[in-house]
Amino acid sequence: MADSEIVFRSASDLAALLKTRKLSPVEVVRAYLDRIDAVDPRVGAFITVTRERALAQAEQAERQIGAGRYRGPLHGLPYATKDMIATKGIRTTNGSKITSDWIPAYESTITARLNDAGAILIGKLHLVEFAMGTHLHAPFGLARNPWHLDYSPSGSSSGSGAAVAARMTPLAIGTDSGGSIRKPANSCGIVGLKPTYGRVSRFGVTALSWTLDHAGPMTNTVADNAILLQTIAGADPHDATAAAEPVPDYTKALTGNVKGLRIGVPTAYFFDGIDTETAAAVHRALATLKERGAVLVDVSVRNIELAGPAAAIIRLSEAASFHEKRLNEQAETFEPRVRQNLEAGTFYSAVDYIKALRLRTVLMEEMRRVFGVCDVMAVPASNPAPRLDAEATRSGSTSKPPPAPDTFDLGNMTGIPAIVQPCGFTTGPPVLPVGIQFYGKPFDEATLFRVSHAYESATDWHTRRPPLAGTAAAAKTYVPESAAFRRMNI
Amino acid sequence: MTNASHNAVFLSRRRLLQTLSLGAAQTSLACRQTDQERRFSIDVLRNVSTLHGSALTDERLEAIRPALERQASQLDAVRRFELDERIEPPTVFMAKR
Repeated sequence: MADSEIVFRSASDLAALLKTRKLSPVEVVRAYLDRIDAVDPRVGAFITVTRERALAQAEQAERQIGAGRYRGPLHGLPYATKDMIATKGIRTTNGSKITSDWIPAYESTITARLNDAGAILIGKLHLVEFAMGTHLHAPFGLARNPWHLDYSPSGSSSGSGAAVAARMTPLAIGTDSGGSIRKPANSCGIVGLKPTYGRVSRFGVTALSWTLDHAGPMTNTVADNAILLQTIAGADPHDATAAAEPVPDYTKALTGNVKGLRIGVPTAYFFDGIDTETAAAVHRALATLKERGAVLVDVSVRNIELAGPAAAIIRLSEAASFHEKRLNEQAETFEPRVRQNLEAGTFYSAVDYIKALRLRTVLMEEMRRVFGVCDVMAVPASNPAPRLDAEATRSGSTSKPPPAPDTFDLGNMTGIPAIVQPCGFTTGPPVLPVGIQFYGKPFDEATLFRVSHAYESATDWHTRRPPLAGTAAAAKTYVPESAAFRRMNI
Repeated sequence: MTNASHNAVFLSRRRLLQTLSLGAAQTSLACRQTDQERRFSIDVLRNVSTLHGSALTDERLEAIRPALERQASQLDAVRRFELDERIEPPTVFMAKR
């Protein structure tokens, strides 16, 4: 099978071929490594490519599957993680000069579970510094949007979004403390799930904000997202906040049937400031689901306008606490915007922080009320991706309200799960993906997969291929500061 | 021993109370100022910084002042919101069914 045929298949399709030995893990891994070589110099999604290790593991997987020791749907499939997830013996930079040479002596629970399932790490992915910096000043260069290289993939899981969209990996892990999985999923036209808080262990995930941080799957299809979550979800003795809630078989939710499913559609806030093309695409998506039997219900989320401000207080307070030692000893090493935000975070009082925490209780109660009348809530994800050079004039992710409504912090504040998937494209130029976001009840990721899969089955947005178009003019703004910060092949 | 902890040894109880009062008043003043002009003076920021233990230089205070001024409206929105006193923070944050 040609490389191009392999990399444009879904992970689920590849898994079936690997299981039946119609395809070998070595062929699959080589195809993705070749794709990285061909595409990543323009996209900039990878900080580290684990080439030799991946090929050795692929050969091992080939022997295991050949000997009848097939481990499951991820066996022999490549994956990559945002580079703030610890990988034993493999540098984990956090996108920062400060930890650019950190080689963890331990494995995160997420990567340990993926490795145990036979998945093969092919690299570590770009992010803005400590998940709170800016793209144009990222020490490891710019990650670009595969739909147009002059546009941002959004962040902070920028490399995860770009790598999946550009078919450089079929499976990626991102983290989300205020939309950092869902924003790049929206901008790059892929599927990104922020699971329920506690659904996926945070052990080995570098903190931004302990109580807002989530890790989750980023993929090209809903089915791929489900099999990835299946592997990484569950209780973990290393993380006290990882929940003991049983993990259901998510593939059973992929029925395509939404008959009778109640979809809440907010009557206020979430569509304010959303561009007309995106809003129209979201309404068309809802009409598609209604045609398939879903029931649309008007809902309102009281006090939603406080989710963003309260999340910002919590995020910056916790981040300032996490980075306290670094701020005291090497503050000048941070990217200027990160340093500015962290130092500003020290100005919040305990009363402000606790007030923001109490607002979480208010919003959690509010979402319980909303989910009394619907099974999921649908909102626009955000506006399409911004130009990279436009980001240079914007503040960091935590200090200034974005022009679009903040549709993301609700999930981090309440811990409820949310999934973003493509629901159309702008007419352009440039042609960019637009996304819809579904919120679900705590630990009910299965229903999110159910509705997302039903919508995906009725449309073909997920089959479109990013053109890697653009002049890449913004590349002129980026010069790696030293060879140490260029992409590493190991 | 850091400078901060060294200074703390010689901080009298009276001086501590004076500093706390000053800091609280100036934090409150800084907040009220944001309603009107959204500007913080370096003097105010210096005192709050000292009280919080970070003791940032005037150069750093100038650097972060724009961030603080940007965040002021968010902070105000949260501060202005009245909460029923029975509402507690989630003590150990766990999303539950």
